[in-house]
Amino acid sequence: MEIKYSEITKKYGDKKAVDGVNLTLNNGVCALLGANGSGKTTLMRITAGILDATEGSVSLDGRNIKALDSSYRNILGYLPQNFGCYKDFKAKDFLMYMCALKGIDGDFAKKRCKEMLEEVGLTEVQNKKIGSFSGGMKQRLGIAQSLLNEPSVLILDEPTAGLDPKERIRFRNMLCALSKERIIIYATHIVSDITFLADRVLIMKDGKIVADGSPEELIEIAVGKVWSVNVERSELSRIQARYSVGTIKDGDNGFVNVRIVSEGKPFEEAVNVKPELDDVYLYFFGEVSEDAEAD
Amino acid sequence: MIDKQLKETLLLYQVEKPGSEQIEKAKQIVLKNERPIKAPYISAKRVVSSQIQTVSNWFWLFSLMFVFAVVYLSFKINNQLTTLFLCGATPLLSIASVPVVLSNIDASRMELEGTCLIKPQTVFSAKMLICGCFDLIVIIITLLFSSQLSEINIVRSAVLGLISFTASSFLCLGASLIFKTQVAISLVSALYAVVVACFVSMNFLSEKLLEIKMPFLVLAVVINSAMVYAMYSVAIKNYSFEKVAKRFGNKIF
Amino acid sequence: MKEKELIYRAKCGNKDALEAIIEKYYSDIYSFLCRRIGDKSYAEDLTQDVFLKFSVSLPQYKEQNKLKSYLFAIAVNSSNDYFRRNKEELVENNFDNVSYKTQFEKELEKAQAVKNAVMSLSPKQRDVVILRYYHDMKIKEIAEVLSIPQATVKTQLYRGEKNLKNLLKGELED
Repeated sequence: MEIKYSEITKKYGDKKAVDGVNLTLNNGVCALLGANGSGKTTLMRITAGILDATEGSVSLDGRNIKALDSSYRNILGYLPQNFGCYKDFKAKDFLMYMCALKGIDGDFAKKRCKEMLEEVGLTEVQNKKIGSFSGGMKQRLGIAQSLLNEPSVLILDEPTAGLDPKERIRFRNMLCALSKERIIIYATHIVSDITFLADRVLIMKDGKIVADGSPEELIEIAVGKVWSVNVERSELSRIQARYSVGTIKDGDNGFVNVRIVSEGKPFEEAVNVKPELDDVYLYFFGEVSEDAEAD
Repeated sequence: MIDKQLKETLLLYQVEKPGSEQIEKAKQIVLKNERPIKAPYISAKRVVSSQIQTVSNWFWLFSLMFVFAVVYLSFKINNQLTTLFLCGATPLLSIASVPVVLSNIDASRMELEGTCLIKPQTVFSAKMLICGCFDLIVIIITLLFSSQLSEINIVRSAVLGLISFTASSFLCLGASLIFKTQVAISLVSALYAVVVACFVSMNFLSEKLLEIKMPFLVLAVVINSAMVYAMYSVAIKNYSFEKVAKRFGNKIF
Repeated sequence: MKEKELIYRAKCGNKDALEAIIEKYYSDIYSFLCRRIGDKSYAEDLTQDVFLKFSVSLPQYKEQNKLKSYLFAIAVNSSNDYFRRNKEELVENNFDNVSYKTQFEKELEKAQAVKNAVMSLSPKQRDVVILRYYHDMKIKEIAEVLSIPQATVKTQLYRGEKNLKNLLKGELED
């Protein structure tokens, strides 16, 4: 299976949310990394077919997804960033309703719902109303509904938002098991989601794809550009204003160890270090990813 | 009935069972072949039955309360004004339908449901069908009942009710394209009911109404129905995630 | 896994489900085609063809008939095409000919005798007999597979059985 984007552009007035994206996606897991407002969600929505591109087209195995229409939606699974549902619905009822919308009925629908509830760990709360769910629980329900029709194309927008570490690991394991013979694309700004999961990473900035490769290839980009240096705590704010600063570690005697991403050596004492994916993010976006801030 | 002796003899003619390699080869060839993806056909019956569960209990309750209120008032008023009064009251039924039919106009829900096999537009149409049919049945029952009490014949009662019903449906749909809240849309319908009630309560006007010949009344139903369909077509066209999000100010960018 | 589920999953593009369907029905379709056209290597190609056609037509398959009947129907149509392409005529044979009976009596191998008996039935009789006796299909299923009325199935079956009994008198008595 192959999804091809040809010159995809989405304009809102003068602003381009997505700017001339040309891309081919094959079977496997592809992560779309980018800051908020980089155009990830717009691209996800265009791929899912609910938003029309201003220019360009998306095709599946050579056929335009607009022309495929219901045939494309039949093999699609989508999890939006924020999804709405009937709050009075119980979890099980919601999944049965989504089954009906996806053309699954009868005993098979009941079986799928039961399987999905088990998969995401919501069996115990299946008879509770969605309105009473926490953010994480709702997210897990969203993941469950996206898999009901065994989609060949799975599009997930920020799937791990609101999930605690244990739930994130569960989600990653679930996705790993699914990645055979499917195109999976998920948008995230959490770097650790990529490290364990993605075969391919696309970095999106200002509507454009600025990097495309495996996690290892992307790390190569930052080789020789990541520095570690000890500085005085009092200098910290000045340094942060001038350079892209990553992890900051407390040291002794009023010193801190900072990780800086910079083309050239920032200080005499700075030492080159092996880059990580966090540093790649910093390199492109000049700011710390959500993960790194949490450290 | 199978002749067992013949079967035993026939079974002497055995063919070689295919080897596992042969089967594997067939599997490889079939799986490599590009298969066209085509969606299964979903019947209208299935769509409608899947949507009935989403109709709030308030809708059924309100509609039944309407029937009881109308029957009670018919006994109280008990003359040919009853039927005309009902023509004014039927638009109120659409107030109950408005939240049901328009409840899907929620960009975040449409974002999810828009990627399903059954599109939100189909869901919207199914809901309209459910509410429309139910309202129609309720109206016809109440009008048939009231025409027993008044002197207007059954058919005329039904046609007058239909005129009113189609007019209010048209107004509701039109209002849904102009206003954003369900309250505002319901108010349009209520306003229409008030106008009709005032109209009906003016004796000389109501007498004129009862004199209008049947063909003209039927024509009015046909024209109203055409207008409802036209308004429905416009509503469906505007029923996409992007248009709804823009209209209701959901930040999609 | 129940068949209905297998079909649904295969329709969604689940390759394991499609493989499972092939695994389940390959032998049946292959043996049917072997007997129908009497040629093993062509039967193998045709069997592949049947499953290819099945996978292509899968989205349109509405499950009115059982999967087995559907696959057999495709097999019948595919082999009809084969007969047409190879210009082999499906000849109606006349079994009142006594000398024909004598020819069979000369056959040494019982199995060969049975094979020849089956192959010499008229095409319709042969199909019905094969589906009834080798694949245990009911009259209704045979009618679906061959797209003929049930009454015709019964008639052809009766005639086929009668002719086989005549042809295989010797073998039946043993």
